[in-house]
Amino acid sequence: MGNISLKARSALNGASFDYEGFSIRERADIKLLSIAAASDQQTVASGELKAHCGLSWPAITQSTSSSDTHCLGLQSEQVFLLSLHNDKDHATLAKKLAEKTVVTDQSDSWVTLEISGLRTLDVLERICPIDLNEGTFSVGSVARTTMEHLNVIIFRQKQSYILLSARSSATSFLHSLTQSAEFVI
Amino acid sequence: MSQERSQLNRLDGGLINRDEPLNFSFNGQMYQGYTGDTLASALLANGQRFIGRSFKYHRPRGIFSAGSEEPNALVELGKGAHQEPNTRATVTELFDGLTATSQNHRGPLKFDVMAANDFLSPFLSAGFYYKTFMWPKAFWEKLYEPIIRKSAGLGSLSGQDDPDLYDKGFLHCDLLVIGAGPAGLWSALKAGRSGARVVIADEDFLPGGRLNAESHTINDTRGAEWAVQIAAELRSLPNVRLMTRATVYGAYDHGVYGALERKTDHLPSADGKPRQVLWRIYTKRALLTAGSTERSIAFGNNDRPGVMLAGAVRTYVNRYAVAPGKSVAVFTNNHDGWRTAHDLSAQGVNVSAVIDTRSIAAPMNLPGAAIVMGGEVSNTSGRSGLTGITLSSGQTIKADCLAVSGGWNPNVHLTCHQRGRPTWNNEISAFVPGENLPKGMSVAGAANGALSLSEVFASADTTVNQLLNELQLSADSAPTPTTSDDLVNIQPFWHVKNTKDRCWVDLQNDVTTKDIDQSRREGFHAVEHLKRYTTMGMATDQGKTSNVLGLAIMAEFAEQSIPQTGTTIFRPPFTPVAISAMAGRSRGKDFRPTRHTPSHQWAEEQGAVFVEVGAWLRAQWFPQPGETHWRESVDREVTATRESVGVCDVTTLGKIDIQGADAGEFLDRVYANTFGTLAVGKVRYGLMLREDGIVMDDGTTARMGEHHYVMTTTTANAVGVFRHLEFCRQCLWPDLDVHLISATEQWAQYAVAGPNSRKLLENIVDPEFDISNDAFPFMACANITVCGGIAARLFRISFSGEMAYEIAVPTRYGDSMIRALMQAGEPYNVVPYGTEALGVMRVEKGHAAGNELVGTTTALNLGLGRMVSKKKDCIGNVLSEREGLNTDDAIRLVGFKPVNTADSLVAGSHFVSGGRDATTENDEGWMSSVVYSPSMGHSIGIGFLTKGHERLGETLSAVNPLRNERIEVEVVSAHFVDPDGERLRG
Repeated sequence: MGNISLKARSALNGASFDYEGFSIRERADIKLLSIAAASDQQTVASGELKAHCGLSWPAITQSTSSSDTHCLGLQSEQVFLLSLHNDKDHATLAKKLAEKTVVTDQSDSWVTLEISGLRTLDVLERICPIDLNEGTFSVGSVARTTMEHLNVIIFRQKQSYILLSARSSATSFLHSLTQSAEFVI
Repeated sequence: MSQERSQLNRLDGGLINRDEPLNFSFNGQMYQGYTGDTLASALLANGQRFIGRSFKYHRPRGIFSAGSEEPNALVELGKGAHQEPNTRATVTELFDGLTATSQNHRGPLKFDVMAANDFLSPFLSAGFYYKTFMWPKAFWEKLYEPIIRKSAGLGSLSGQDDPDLYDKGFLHCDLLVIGAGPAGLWSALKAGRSGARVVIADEDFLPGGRLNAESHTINDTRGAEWAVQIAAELRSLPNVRLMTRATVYGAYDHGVYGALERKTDHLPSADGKPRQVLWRIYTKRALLTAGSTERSIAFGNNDRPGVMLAGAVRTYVNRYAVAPGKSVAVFTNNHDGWRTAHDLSAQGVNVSAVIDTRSIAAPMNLPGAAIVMGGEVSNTSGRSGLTGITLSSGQTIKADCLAVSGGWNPNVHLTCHQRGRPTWNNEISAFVPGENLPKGMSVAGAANGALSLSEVFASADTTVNQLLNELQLSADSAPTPTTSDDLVNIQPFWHVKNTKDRCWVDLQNDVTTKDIDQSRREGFHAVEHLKRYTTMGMATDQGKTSNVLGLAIMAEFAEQSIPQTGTTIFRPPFTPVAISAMAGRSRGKDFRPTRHTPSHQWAEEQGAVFVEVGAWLRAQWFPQPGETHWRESVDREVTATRESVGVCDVTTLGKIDIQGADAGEFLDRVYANTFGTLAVGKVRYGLMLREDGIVMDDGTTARMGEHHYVMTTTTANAVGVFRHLEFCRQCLWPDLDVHLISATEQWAQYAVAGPNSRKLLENIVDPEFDISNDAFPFMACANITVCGGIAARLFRISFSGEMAYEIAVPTRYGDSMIRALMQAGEPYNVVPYGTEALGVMRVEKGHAAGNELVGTTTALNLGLGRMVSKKKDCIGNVLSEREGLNTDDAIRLVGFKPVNTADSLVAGSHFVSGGRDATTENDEGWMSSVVYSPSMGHSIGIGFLTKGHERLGETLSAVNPLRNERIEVEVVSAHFVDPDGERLRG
């Protein structure tokens, strides 16, 4: 029985949909770490983030980014780190950060979708209650919200949006997006 | 269907496209109209005046207005499941293939058998049903109510599911402009040019409001053309969203407005798109420019088809190029009626007379028309359509259309949606918005009482400038448009007195001036009582044309002023909104999200039967070939697990990572028992109380490291417990260094239970980890690796009562893990088991679950009273000591087995002893959970019994009053299987 091995599978098997002016891609390559500062240790936590990732600790609803990592400011003294690290580098980084901050691997907790295209806002306005206008939700902005009863983290990049929602309901979340696209486009 | 009729009443001009003829049917008759028509205008163009029957007396009714205020011209649209009743023909945009039928009649429209009600009207006056059906009492249910139900209601439903699609959406803006008439268009333009984010919405399919219906000029351009130009500029501005076919129906808290946009109602086919979209609009400011609605005058038989509002007549003439009649008379108390006469004449329609209640000089000459100043119309003739009118003087005049103007009411409805009250304006004899507007709302134009076009623009200009200033934007400096003007010059005149004929006030509900007087005489003085007693202002139009008229007449009868009489309160929605639109796409499987376990696909492949557990779908059991009943599958799964090994997906249990230097202290405060002293690598069962001392949830918590615990919760309470913990962390003890994060989704977790569970896992767990009983005993936990280095968590815990483990891997490996476990268990004939077998085994073991943690049971009731540690404080500790919760006769959790083992117990049965009657007084407790136990070979149950722990061996009755059953049961220990716990420690 020593030959039993496990194979990783993403929440949506790499789902991908294209509409006229709107695309959806599952991003199974993105890893997630939750990093929280211990009580009264915000300065230490910020230093650790800078030292190991080269990123400043972002304000709530804002983000800081490098070429392969984004740090999302979600709540007081807690951030989400999105990275393109491989498993080994991801584990190494988590271990380093855990020495002085509170770290929880969240890579398997969320389904990560990247949506893009000129009709993106037309699709989102059917399910997303927050104001995504450029003036109020500019590039780099991040928010927690709900879409079709599901908790969602939305992060605006230059050409696309990253959406995170609970992995167990990934199929429903994807359906909410594809249905919006079919209703609008 | 018969052949098309020609459009006999079509005039020249109008805002219709004659290059696009459209075919439609009404009551099976084919007609033709044009793009730009409404169903009402197209029917009038074809000479169809008789549209439907009235609600109560089934009197012939025609088209009364040209907008959403229409009380009469209600039709059923569509066929089969698409059929929709009570659709106003006046706002139904014509499309090719439209099918409409009249409603509210039995038999053909012209020969409605229910029209007999009209002859019975002396017996059917206001409130008749409150008085008439009182006796004999026995007749109510079997005779009166069925007849009333059959007779009541407007239109009919298909009785089928609505097949159309609906959706919702969210919009945000600096300024919402409600109504795209002259005030709305001008305001939106100024705001749009200033850079404000503007949403302007109008219920019509053509922006312009009354400009499309009038012959006004603006800046020397015809009003309708001016509206086209402004709308074009608005559409070109990226910061402006011009929404047509969109009714803002409600003003809600915090500047939120509801709007219904009709997306495909005007198209022959929806083509897979939603029919309507319900928008929630978040605004910084809102400007109500909803215009005004004309009201009628009550006189004898003023409800015949052909009697119309004067402004509506202008709309049909100017916008739709339709003559509502060949010979039109006008009855007015203000200058507006004269404008109608003027526009009719200009289009070549014969105006037979103008009857003005005012004793002033005629405002204009109308060659060929009889001019009667200071006159009144007292009666009309023509059963299914107007043929003539009779004046109070006795003079009769032939007319097939009577245009009536009793003045204009500003559309104040949305200003009242948050309990605002309008105020009376004597100058225009109408209510105008009061001071208590919804926060952030302003009103301009006719909605604010500005009834001439120049006043409208002045009002809009001033108001929007103020709003832009508040938004810290600079207003565009374009000059206010110059307009041709119109005076209203109204002298209030509400109803013609001294007539024996019925004078109709509310056309939709068949309310007359006599009904109003009767209401007053019978003591219903308050206007809200008047509404309920007479039904005035109810149903689909909510009295848009009748409310002010009715309460003015009420004021007159009561000899008090109109402000003293007051108005009924306006509530959302402004116009009807289909329930389906409120549901949006939340129907069927889209009603809520579905959560899938990591093993879902594998379970599907095994043919599992699934059960909904909250939003989760869990495998309930796994049928095997030859099994014909669920019990066979469940019994097999239980037996195989107890004899060898079984695997169950338990991912759905809540998993909360608790970290920080004070994590132990935190757990001591939220749990009844102690966790701070728990050794690293150990698990403990925990009991959580609510503040009131009642049990909130239970589960195990493992100490994975010095400052790292993993708590499990019940599936049902996963979110509630997390929320509770966050409240405690953030609000009760912010000084503690504790961090919480849900890990429910992060880990795929499987229970591996049974005497061969360890052997199975030895094929999964990497060899460097010793999971022997000595190294990894009951209630141990560890971070390990499996299958060659995959990080995992292993817990030695048991819900089944067997030697058991729960193993967790990152969810991406969840699907692979269930396959690996089944592969590794093949030598031991491993079985997957579902929630039913899980439930059977936990009852056999006597474990409490959701059926026992019902929000009324305490630790004492559950037999866990000693877990509430008195060496420390915790949430619920103090109040768990309340005297009433600790009486000698408190209920206790015990087991039950039938005396006759062939009997099947029923969960929910109540216990009575000594053969006493099953009454509340004799009730001694209830059976909370029942299963068939394959281990015991009969039905077993656990439940709560007064002093249960002292009554083992006693026989009593389990009573099921619903089936009138009594089963004799013996009180036993709740631990049917392995009461000493030898198996789980093995």
